[in-house]
Amino acid sequence: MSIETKIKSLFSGLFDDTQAVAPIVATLVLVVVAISGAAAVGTIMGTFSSDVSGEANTGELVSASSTEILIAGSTTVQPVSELLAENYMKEHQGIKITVQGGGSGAGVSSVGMDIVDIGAASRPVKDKELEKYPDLMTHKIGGSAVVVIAHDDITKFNVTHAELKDAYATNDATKIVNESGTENITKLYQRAEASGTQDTFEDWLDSNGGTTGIDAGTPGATGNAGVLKAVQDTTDSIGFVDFGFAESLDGVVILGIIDHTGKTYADIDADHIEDELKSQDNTNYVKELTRPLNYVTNGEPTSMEQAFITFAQSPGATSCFEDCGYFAITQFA
Amino acid sequence: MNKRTLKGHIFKAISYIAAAITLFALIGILGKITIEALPSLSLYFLITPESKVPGLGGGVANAIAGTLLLSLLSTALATPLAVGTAVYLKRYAKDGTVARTFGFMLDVLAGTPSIVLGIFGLLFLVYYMKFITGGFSLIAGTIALTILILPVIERAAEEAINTVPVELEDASYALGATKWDTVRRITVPFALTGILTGVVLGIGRAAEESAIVILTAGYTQFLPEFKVLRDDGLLFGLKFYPYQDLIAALPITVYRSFEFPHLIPASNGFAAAFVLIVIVMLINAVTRILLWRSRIG
Repeated sequence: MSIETKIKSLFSGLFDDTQAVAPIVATLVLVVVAISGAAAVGTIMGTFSSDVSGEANTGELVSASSTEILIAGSTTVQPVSELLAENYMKEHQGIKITVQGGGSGAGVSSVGMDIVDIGAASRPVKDKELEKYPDLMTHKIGGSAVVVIAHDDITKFNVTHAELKDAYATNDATKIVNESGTENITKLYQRAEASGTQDTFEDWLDSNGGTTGIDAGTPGATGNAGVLKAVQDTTDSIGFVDFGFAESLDGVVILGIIDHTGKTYADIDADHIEDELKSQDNTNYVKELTRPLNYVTNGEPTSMEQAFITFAQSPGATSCFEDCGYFAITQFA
Repeated sequence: MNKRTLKGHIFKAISYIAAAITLFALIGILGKITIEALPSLSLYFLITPESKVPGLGGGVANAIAGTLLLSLLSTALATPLAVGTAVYLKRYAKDGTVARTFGFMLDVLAGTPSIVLGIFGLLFLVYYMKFITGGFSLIAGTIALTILILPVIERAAEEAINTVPVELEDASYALGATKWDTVRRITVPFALTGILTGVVLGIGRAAEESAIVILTAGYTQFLPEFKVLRDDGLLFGLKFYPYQDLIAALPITVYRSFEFPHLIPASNGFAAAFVLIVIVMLINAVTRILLWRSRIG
């Protein structure tokens, strides 16, 4: 067989095959080609424009790791992180900050595992976590406090530390008796996931010794919002949330607290908590119930991360904290 | 009326009531979501990403784009695998222990809770394979979702292949067609309606999934971008957007509005839910119309 015939037969075979392809397959191929073509054009255009804008802004070769920050962790810190990111990006074109939730525990472990750049935690980093990820560095950006809330069919009263401790240790809400005795608490709520809010509250319950903590059978709800909603929806129920969540919403009352030394904190509002964050001496609110809002980095932050953290700690960032019901570090430190 | 007809009437009544309850539940849910969504629904809300709106919430374009990318890409990846597996099991594999074991494994995969696949995705795709996937990313999310919807499409494809009349295939063989010819020209085209039903179910499943998405794709306030940047931590030293970048999804947007009730209006969440339902409905409707026009057999 001559080469010519061979080539001809090759092509005729190809041609036959092409004809044989079902219309549906042809359509699919067309769609795939069209999509990849569009993606390719988009990629080329995108590279071009971002290169230009990157150079215009940073004056150095554009690198994804030098223009992007991923923050994840505490749902308490999350809203303030988003506001901070938004304000920071307004002033620093070309920087992209993405914010996710997950809870304080997730924030600390994912920054330790290097899958996020900055972890957020509404509590100090624990010793056990430092054992596992020894390079973790804490950057305090603000503060807040945990408050005890009740459904608003309950007339506000002062609940004692001992009552709360007893009730939560045994999941028995009836152990909470208010002074007048007119309100019957029937249900307690705790957090369903690893939470800085819960850790803070639990540590306070155990602050005069013992490790009774919270009974595992206590009904759990996810996030500050979950506990808030559960208490709003359940008559005669009690729970604990961050002050920022409790302050701005109807349907719940913030209970006064009598600590284990007998000291009464009847009025719990933003001023009292801010003063306590400043003084840290149990004069205005229970010291153990206030907690820091932290950013955590694995080792020294990069210059870009540092710039953002510095911004979060600056007086200009105060309004972001206030919008969420928290306190910026400049307000109390 | 004798006892037998009475029995018939009673069961007829029960079926009618069951159907009515289901329908009312659907109407109730859709109605409630639509009413609650109305204050937020606007063109601006739909075409603006969250990053362009001051404060939290306010736009869902990022989530719409993310949901479309995630569900379409994962379905595109899962369909060939699923159809291939189904054809193999039904037409090539001898009906022995291997095929049955395989079928059993697929059932196990189909029954695996999505949070388990999510944790697997977080550890394997986001953590160990970070230099390829870029950590929380569209690729990681797509692969994890592919694993989730693969058994859904595979089972539908198997069922569809079961409906292909043996006579048709025998006729094809009698005409001298090879096995591959028969599979390509007779079996798959005939089963196409069923396979595409599986594909639609797969898209819907991927679009509504939240546990896997939050653990593998993360969340972002930004629209997906198309570009390439330098990134020394990744394979080839380059980061390909949007594939190795974070991606948003509508179910996460819905959840976020619940997470921060003091900062995001509840109607934002309902509007995102509404959009999600509309997207799934549209995909369903379009596929049905296409199928109706290109029916074989």
